[in-house]
Amino acid sequence: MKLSFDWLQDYVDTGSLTPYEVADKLTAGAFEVEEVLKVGSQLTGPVKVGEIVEINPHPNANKIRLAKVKIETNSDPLEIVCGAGNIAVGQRVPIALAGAVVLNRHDGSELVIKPTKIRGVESNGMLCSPGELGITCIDSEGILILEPGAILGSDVIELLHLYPDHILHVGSRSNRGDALSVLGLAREVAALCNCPLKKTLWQLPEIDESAESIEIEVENNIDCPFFSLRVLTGAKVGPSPLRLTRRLEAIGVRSVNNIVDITNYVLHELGQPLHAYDLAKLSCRQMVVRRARSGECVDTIDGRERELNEETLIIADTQRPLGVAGVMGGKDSEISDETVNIVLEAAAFQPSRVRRASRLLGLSSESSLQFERGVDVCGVRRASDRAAVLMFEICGARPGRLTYGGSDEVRPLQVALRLSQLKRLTEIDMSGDEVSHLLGRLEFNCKQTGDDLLAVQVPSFRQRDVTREIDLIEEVCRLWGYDRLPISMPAYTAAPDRPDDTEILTREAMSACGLNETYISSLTGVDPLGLGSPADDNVSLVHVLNPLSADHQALRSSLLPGLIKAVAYNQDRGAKSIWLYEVGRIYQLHGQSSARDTGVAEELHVATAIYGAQSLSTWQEQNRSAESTAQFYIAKGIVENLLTRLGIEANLVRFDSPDNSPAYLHPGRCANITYDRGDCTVRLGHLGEIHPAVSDKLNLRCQTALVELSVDALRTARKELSFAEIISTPSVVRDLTADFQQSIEHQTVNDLIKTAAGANLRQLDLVSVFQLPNGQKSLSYRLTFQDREHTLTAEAVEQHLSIIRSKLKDELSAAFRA
Amino acid sequence: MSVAELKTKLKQVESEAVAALARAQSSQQLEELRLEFLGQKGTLTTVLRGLGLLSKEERPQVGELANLVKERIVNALSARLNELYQIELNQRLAAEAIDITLPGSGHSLGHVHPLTAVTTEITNIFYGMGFTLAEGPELETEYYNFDALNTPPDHPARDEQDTFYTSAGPQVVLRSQTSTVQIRVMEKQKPPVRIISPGRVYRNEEVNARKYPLFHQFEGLLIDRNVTFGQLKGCLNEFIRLFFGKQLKTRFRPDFFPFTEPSAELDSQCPFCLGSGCKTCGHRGWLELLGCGMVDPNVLNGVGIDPEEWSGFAFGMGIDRLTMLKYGVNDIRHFFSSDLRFLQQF
Ligand SMILES: [Zn+2]
Repeated sequence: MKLSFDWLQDYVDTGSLTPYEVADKLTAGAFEVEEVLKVGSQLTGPVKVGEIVEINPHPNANKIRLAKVKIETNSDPLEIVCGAGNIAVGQRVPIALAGAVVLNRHDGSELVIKPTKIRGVESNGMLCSPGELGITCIDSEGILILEPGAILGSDVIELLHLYPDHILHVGSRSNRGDALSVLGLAREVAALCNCPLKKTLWQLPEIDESAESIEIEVENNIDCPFFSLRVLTGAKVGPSPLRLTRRLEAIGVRSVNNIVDITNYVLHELGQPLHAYDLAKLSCRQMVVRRARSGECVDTIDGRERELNEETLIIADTQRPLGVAGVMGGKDSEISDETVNIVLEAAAFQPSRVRRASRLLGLSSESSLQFERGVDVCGVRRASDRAAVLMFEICGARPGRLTYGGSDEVRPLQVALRLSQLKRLTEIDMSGDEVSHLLGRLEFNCKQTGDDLLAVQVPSFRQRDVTREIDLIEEVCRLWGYDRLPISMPAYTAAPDRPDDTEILTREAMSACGLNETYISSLTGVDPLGLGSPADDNVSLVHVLNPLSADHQALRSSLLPGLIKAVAYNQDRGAKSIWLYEVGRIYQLHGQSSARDTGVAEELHVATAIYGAQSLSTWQEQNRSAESTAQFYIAKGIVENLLTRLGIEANLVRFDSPDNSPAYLHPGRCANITYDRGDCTVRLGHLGEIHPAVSDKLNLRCQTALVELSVDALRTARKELSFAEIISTPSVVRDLTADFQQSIEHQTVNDLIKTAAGANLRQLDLVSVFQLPNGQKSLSYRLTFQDREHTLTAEAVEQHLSIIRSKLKDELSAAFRA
Repeated sequence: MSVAELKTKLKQVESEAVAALARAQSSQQLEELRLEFLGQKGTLTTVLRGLGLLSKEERPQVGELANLVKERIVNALSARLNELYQIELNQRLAAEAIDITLPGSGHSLGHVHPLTAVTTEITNIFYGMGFTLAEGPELETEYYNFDALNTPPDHPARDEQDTFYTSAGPQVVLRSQTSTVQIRVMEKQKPPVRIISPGRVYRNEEVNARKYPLFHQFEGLLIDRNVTFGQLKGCLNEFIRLFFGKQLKTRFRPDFFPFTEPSAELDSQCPFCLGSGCKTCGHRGWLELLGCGMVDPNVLNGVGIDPEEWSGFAFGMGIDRLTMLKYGVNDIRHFFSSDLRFLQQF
């Protein structure tokens, strides 16, 4: 909220403290002041109230006139040259005399007044416009016309309170409804700066006992503990006096008319929302505070029709709703320029009830914000009185008797505070007297009832946020100063558990492969790549019910669409080598939700996209072999590296052609990756090249390969590494080349060689793949044989090889060339 | 030949050999010279054959000299060989010199996202203070996101975190804070508890340079016997010192969070201007870094931990903001852009 330092002075005497010092104290005391803004300018007198007694034309000019202005009853009037058209004889106006400093109306700079000749005529001062006096809330080029009652010769600066002010932007706190007002912050300032609150007294004028009164019925005292009305008669509705308008304007409240302005003024001053009705527009002399009936409607002051339901609390007469309690009044009974008699409402509503209405209607107001955070029930009458006094002084309205429903008495709240508990949590060692003294500054009354025990009486305006011992401890710390609390370190009572490192190792392996890490939004569109999403894919998709945009309406179920888009994004910005990876979660519905269970599975995945060759220095690019390897195998190599880094046994991992490949993968160039855990097969993920249709849609110019693996699944496949004895017997290396049909996969050949070769095959490497003119393919393998104990003979190796050859021939129709 | 003649002959061979070796210009020539003088049919060998004709008494006199001469020639040969090798080596080195200012080539390491780098850094600092890692789901029920954190329905504090609701159920939200992990951990683990939990959180806010609908927070929780506010201060002061690598002044300002009491906002002296005011700190000299406080007794009671026996503190900070500060990143959207021109700077 915006706090006027000048207004604050009505309630607390801050002595010699500057607005900036007070702001620092508030900031240190839980009310963060984001900004202190100086408003208004320093004017210097003499600027006096004068009366225009004569106006004559200027002898040498058409547009300017000569005014004779009297500032003392018995002395000669002063001659003043004036260009404004709005002056008339008999008006009281501000006149700046020689030596005064006002503002230049063109640029706001300082303007020093001295006697001058204007077109040959002596001018002994200047009649001032609002702008020249630093008044911005009146938009007029003419001279400021003062109230007819302004005393001749009196100081206009003092009269209109034309002093510079400071506006403090104070952060509001949801738990401190009591501190949303000048009074509330004055209490805080008094406590934090240890300076006295001012006693503010106002005298309610004589009550007009003959005035009408309104009968009140409150349906339930939980929704509305206290509801009061007062009729004020004979009000003159019109613009507000300058002093009121200026205060409201300084804190950003627009002036409407004097009645509405007064309700706003009291809201900001005391933190109590008020509402004024036009008595003439009420259909009867009875008001009910009740829940709305389903289907009831009200036109609120902002000009919209609002449909109500049983959750909303309303104020109604016997026929119709007059407004939504605590949120906004109705258009039908609003104050207008014709209003003469006013009904002033001051009440306390249950915060959650107001909040619910405000949320249901999508309507919030200064009033609802205050009510949601709570008002001081004990302060309702005082606010009503304060407004009545102002309406009497400003609008001439005569107050009638206050009628009310419910009660504004609050049960006293007493909270026990143990000094030992204060010490236990804060290390503050304080006596009962010291604590009593500190809390006393916040109007908490303490009584020591035992060596260790204080009984603390909580003032009515703090009963919402201070209900427990811990709340009192916080108040003690706050006033004592957090920075004065001793500093120590927690004792080391247990060694921490060691976290799992799969995620860390995964990132390390990916970076080591030359992939760049990225973070992509987990909020995505329903069909991010615009492929026309297959229905069965969407059943498990989690939707966001209140998304920011169509791009954010679901939670991703795969990391790949985001990466594919990232590839396109970078390609379109000129990147030639786009190697990206992300480690992040995917989300899928998997069951019913309950209070403690979301019914959503979240799984940590790692995914990569590779586009183009890995980045080398540009000058070396020409040295690279022209024949590019299929991106698929590069991606597969990355997967193999990752498996190695995580200690996952390569021979238990299988790459199989999937029956159903994801829509964005090339069906002939993708693989399911699984791990054989013995008891079951764990799905690790998949890899493949991008589907040409997707690639074309995004205008990708290079083949892109994609991998997505579940880090959670990888974690379950990890094994502790163990050492295998290094064998020192000589090894024998033989190459084996055979021709196969295209449909025979390397994996099949590989597996067959392994089983056929027996235990002495130490290593098996594919060394070449060669396409033959007859449509077949030739595969060459390098076999390394080694026996653990003996040196293998050439004959023994040849025997192994011939078994392998015949198996390949029999089972895979392999052909061997001479 | 007489002894004297032989001796003269030996000396003559020696001086010829030494002179010839000195003249040799290649290892090839040296090999030829070795054969010429020391080979089977070499000059020295020939001279030495004359030794056999001498008497038993004369033989040692000449033999001694002969061995000496042979040794000298061998030494001269190896010295010259060495010299020539050095010369040839120098020629080769000169010929093989390359432009060492050309850029390095080959396989490059991938870049790590700055958010990962900073998360790791923060995590490691707290590992050093005895904390361990805990994780929690990003989708949460309102119970964990609000109720258990002492924020009942209709509490205005719920408004401060514009929450995303989901199709998973009426009470399933995208968590708006990592504090949810506090509850999940305390439900399972009896004190002492000392955990940190980095993770992704969501707020329904318009996107701009400072706000993104998802960002990352870092939560800390410590529950033990005799935990005080002073320990919270000590712990976080150490964090600031280690994270920024220097001793900075800190200040703890009272604040309000529903799940801590007393609550505080921690400001640190700006590490860039050391308090004198700069662009990063908005010329305030201080940076608002994190929120913290003593765990509210209501929260402890809610998970069955007796607040009279145990006490604790919790803190939470924005990782994205700390990362922006650390590297001077001026727009949070860069983090989620996947733009290599951004990613490759880290
Ligand atoms: Zn700075």
